[in-house]
Amino acid sequence: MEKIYCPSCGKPNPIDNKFCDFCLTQFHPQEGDSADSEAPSVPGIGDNQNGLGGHESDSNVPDWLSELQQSNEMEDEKPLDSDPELGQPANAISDWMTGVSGDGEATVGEVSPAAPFLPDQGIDESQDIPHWLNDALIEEEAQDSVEDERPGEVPLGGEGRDVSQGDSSPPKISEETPGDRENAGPLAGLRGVLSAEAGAARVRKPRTYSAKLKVSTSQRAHIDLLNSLLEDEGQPQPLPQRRSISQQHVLRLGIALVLLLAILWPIVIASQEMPFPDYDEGSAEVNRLISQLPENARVLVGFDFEPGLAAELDTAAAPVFDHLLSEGALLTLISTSPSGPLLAERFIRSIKPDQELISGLEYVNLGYIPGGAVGLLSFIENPQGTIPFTIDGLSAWETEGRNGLPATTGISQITDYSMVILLVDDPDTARTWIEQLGPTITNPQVLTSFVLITSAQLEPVVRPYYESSPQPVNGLVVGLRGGAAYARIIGSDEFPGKFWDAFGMGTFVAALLILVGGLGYYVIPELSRTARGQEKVKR
Amino acid sequence: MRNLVYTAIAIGVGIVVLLGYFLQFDLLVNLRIVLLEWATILVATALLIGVVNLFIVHWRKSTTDQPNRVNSIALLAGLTITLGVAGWFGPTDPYSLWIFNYILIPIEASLMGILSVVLIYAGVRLLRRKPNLLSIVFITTAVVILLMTGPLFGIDIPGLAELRIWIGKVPAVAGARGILLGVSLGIIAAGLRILIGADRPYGGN
Amino acid sequence: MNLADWIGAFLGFVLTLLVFSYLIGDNPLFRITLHMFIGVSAGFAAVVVIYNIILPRLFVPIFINNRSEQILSLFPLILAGLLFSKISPRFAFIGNLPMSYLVGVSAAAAIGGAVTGTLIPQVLASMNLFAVQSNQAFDANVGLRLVNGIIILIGTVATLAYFQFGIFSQANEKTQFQTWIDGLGQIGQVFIALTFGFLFAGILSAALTALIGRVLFLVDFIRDLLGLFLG
Repeated sequence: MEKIYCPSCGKPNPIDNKFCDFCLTQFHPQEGDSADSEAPSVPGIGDNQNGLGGHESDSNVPDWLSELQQSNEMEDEKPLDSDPELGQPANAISDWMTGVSGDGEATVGEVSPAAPFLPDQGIDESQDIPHWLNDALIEEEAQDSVEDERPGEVPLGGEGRDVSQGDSSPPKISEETPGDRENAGPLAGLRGVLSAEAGAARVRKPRTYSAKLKVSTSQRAHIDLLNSLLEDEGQPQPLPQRRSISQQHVLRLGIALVLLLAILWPIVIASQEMPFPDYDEGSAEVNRLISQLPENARVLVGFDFEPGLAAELDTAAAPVFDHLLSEGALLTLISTSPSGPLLAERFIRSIKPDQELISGLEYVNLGYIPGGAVGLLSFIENPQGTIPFTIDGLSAWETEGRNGLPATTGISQITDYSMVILLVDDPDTARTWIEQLGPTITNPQVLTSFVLITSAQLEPVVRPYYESSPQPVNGLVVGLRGGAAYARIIGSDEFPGKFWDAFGMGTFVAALLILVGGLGYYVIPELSRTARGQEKVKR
Repeated sequence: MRNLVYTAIAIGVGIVVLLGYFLQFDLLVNLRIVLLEWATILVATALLIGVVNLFIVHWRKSTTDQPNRVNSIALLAGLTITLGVAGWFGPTDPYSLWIFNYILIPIEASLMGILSVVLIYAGVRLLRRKPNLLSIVFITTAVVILLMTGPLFGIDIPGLAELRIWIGKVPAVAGARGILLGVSLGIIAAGLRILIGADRPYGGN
Repeated sequence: MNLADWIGAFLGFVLTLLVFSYLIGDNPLFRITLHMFIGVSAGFAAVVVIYNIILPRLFVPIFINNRSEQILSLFPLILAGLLFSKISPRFAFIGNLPMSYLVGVSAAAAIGGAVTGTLIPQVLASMNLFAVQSNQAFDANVGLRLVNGIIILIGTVATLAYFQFGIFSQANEKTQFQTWIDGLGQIGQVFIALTFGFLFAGILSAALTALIGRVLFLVDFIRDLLGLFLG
């Protein structure tokens, strides 16, 4: 079959084509056009006069454009018939389209691009339909067949119309009447402009999609949850009520009850069965030191403990002071805590209730030394300047014009005291006293001894000082045990027996609770966890 | 300029007091005595200021519509009554000692008493919370010492009393000595920072 | 007991039970009792300070001493007055002068005590553990004393190592010395656990004693009350 080659894209076209199958370039029509005519016109180029403001006669206007202009002028005189359905002039077929017959042999530049799309222009089998057009047509036919198909019927237009087989008819194109021209746009004024709906594209009603959002069940659940969260945000939520009785609560109450019962038993039955400790080294050393004191020795006593532990320290110190007073010692009481002077006063009055000690005579209460380490250092360096008066307002020290109190007679510095006894419950306070007084005490020329009567909680902290050499602490009575040992050494009945029995019962029950309770608290959950694990494995 | 003055005062008095530990000559000793006496007076004043501040804070709480203002009223009542009675009659007067014996000591001793329940409870839960070797050593030591601190119904378990004495004299002393040395080194470091002006807790920044 | 003692004992009885009510749970009466305790403690502290220090050492010297001592006693009075400005947040800066004085003196006292009272004596004590002729012979058996001394020395050093008084390498890899320190620190933890166990037992003993004292008081009060009513 003969072919023509498009002057624009150079691709082969069947000779009968008026337009190029690939770029729709118009080939020149046969009348008035020669085979060697100039370049083909591209369809749709409008009249410069009407649309683009061109000029009538211009030597630079190409021939094809001038031809178009001429044809437009000719058609202006003719009435236009409009197609009421399409809204376009019915005979809007331009000159370049009227010459299309489809019979002659196509030559280069003579084929109209609209040729395959004109009505009643059967497609020659010999024509080579491009594959993209073929596919599009097949698709359109398929869509049409779906719409028109009735069960059992062969779809109109055949099945999968294949244009290349030449068994289908070209799509209908609405006829355009001569004289129809484009009214708007860049192609205004031109005739024969391909209308959008004229075969180039099938106007199809677009598929209607529902405006309603399709929400799945899980998405709906999420939306509801978010809405509820947002609604709850503004509303105050009641706090979850704590359980009034928890497991920890029950355990603590149980421990308290068991401990109270254990302590109450020896107190209620008033038994004094538990023996005092046999021997305590620290207490024995204190006993030895007190026994070596001279007659009417001046002893400085520091009361540096909290009122909460008054029961322990008063009980532990009672036999020591019983011994001390029996040796005729004169006491000077001081304290580095504000409640110390009151504790000292209370203790002194309770030692011998039947033989009240006289303040200023047998003892002197100097009161409170503020400042901790600073105050102690000041007292050690200059006791008279640091505390010139007793807590009762009496002048405490001997001066040139005045006799001092018996307990402070002959005292000008701290090393003038025969012994310093400290009742203490706090590790920091004990350490402060030892640090400030220790270097003075450990001087070989100083004969003052330093004794501690401490709470049981202090034993590990003060023992390094007691066990060291040189020894800043010469004697140590620790807690209730130390006091009981001291009472046994001197054979004193100042130590309350039922206190010791209750203490023994209490410490035993406490140790048992910690041991048994701790093991049970640990082992039972572990066993149950292991059992649960084994059950899971069995399943 | 003011900050420099504060720092200079702190360093100056500190050096005088510190040198007195190592050097002994009259001027230094006398100056040190005076500085220490003034310091004790200032500490007592600071304590008084603390009490005044406590009064002011709780007075404001009790006179404004605040929750738990009844607690502040109780505090102010205790403070005022004690100041009145002990201040009028004297701190060692029987009336003052009555307040001390029947109000202060029962409350504080009871607080210490319930501490024993809390400590046993903590000991029971320790193994469950931290089941490791150190907890076992801790609990074992505590139980042995507790058992041997009391009379144990007069039962003499052979070796247990000696074990208690040995623990108290050897490993506990070792640990405590290490802790004491560590604490003293820390105190020296902190004190030296103040004496060289690196730390200025008195507002000298 | 006289009436005042009865009233006081009854008050102590009630206050003890109010504090013990904490075992059941925190409650408003417990809190009121606690606040009252704070007020009474503060009241006693203020009275003791005024009676013991403020009056006799701040005001009395101005009136009774000689001229030079009177002038000298003005300085602590002025410093104490400046310290009172700490009550007001607006004028608190005025109190910085006496505060700097206090801080300097306290720091020096703390350093001096730590060096001369703990550091040097405890180091000497660790050395003297191996001194055969030392008068600190708590065990006649020299061999046992030496063994105990070695344990104490190792324990002391290990405890200090646990507090990391060592050299840290800046590189990612540990130095051999640092590995030794870490290993020693692990041993130190055992000594510390042992010491804290001892401390725990001591604190528990002390608290038990306080509890026994309170229970004794309650029992004695009930007995006396029953004796009063029952004759």
